[in-house]
Amino acid sequence: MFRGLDAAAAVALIAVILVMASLIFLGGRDLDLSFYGRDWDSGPYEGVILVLFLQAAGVSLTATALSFLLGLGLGFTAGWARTLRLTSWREVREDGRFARALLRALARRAASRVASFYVEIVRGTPLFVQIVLIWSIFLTAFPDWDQNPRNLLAGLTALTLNTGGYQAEIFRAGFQSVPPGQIEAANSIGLNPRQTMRRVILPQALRLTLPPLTNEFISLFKSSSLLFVISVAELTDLAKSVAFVNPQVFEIFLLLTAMYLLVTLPLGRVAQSLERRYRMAGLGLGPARAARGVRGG
Amino acid sequence: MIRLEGIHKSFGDVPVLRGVDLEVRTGEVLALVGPSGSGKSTLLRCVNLLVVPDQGRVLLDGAQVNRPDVRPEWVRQQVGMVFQSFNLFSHLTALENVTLGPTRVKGIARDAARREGTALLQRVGLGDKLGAYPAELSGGQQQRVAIARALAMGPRAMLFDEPTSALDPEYIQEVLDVMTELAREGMTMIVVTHEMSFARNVAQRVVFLDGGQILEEAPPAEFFGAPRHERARNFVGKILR
Repeated sequence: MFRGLDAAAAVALIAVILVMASLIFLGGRDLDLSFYGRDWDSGPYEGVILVLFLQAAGVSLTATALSFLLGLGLGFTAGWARTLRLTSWREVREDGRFARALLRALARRAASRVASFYVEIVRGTPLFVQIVLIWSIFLTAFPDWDQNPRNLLAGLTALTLNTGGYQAEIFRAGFQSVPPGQIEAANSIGLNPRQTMRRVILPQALRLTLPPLTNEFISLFKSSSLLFVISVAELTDLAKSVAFVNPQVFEIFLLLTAMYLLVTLPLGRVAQSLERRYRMAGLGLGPARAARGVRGG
Repeated sequence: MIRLEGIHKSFGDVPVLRGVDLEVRTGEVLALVGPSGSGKSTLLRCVNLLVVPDQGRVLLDGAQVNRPDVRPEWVRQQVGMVFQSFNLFSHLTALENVTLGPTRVKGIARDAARREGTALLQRVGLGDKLGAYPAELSGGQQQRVAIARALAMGPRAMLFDEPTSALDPEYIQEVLDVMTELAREGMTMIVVTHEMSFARNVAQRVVFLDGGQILEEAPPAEFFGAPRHERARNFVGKILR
């Protein structure tokens, strides 16, 4: 049923986009695309607006995907650092190898502090401000660079740092929701800490992080619209530029809305099927048999 | 074969074990009993170093193992453990639960491990559940898989931490049967349990732990029939009622 609904939604969207594109032109008024740096008075340009929007969607999606992937590494590391057990000073004092124990305790504390600090900063400030701040840093640090690559790089950096902070919280929650008994059991059969992480904690934690991670991807894709403030040529920037010099503001932003939906709706669907595929058998949604014979279960 | 000498352990400022000496002979089944909070689980975890004692020595076959140059992973291969809440890996099938240790820790080839794992699961009566996930098994079945998982490492001794306390009554016997069979085959076992029938019929010795100290050690008939220590009498009176 959902599959049918999705297909219908996609068809409807494409129809909307086509209607919008034609409305913009059939309104009888020529669209001024001179901001784009080309002479649009010559040649057929019915549909040029669609091509421009598709290109811009490509920029949005690429920026989102790149930032998300880089943010995965950042978020995983920071999230893991925030789950480190901080050894007490008493334990350190009583450790046979004092110097080693002290170094480890200090490293753990430092890693955990840095990660928490990072997450708090990202969570506590608006993305808009983060983008402009990073951009201004790039501006002062690389005054001789071309504008376009500099803006793009600043935008990617800001999005990466932002999503990394949110993903850190997702991973932290994932790690912490693996029951301690699982780790004790892994230890009891002789798995070392690395094997325990790789074979027991990760497979369970990652399954739990899949839904919030896909959610974060969709959210990040929408957030990438803010890159227009530093003139990255993504979807919203294009719509803004066209609407700035043309009267068809409503049509253009309706088209923009449709473009975002065209990406986010299928993404939600992909997320759903991923979750279903990696769902732990017998747990979560679906026709699983409940455990019998466990008290309170 | 297992020997504990002067074991002390505190969590923070709370002393849990206060000088415990204990010896278990090869092939012996020892029932460890005591009121909750007496330190039974902690003592059990000291044997396979899931808990590292603050003081005292843990010896396996005469060699001290709680030393920095002995890897705890090695110790845990020698001594298998079964938990109150089963703790099966919930993302793995019954067979995968059993073969994870042999393939990853002992480096046994996948096929050989699967053959041995299948045989072990058949031995605990679960030959038809190889591909089932923990959430699809009853509590009794899960605990039997957990026993097979521990046995797959070829341990010299087994630790059981209240293996039937989390089970509904109708599933308790199947787990006790597997444990009884294991004892008959000569496995050295320390069992924390409140199952009096098991302690009476299978254990050779009962050790009563209270307040982090061993207060009484006796053959089961003697312990349950006429406990000498007052707190042991109190305890026996409560659980037999």
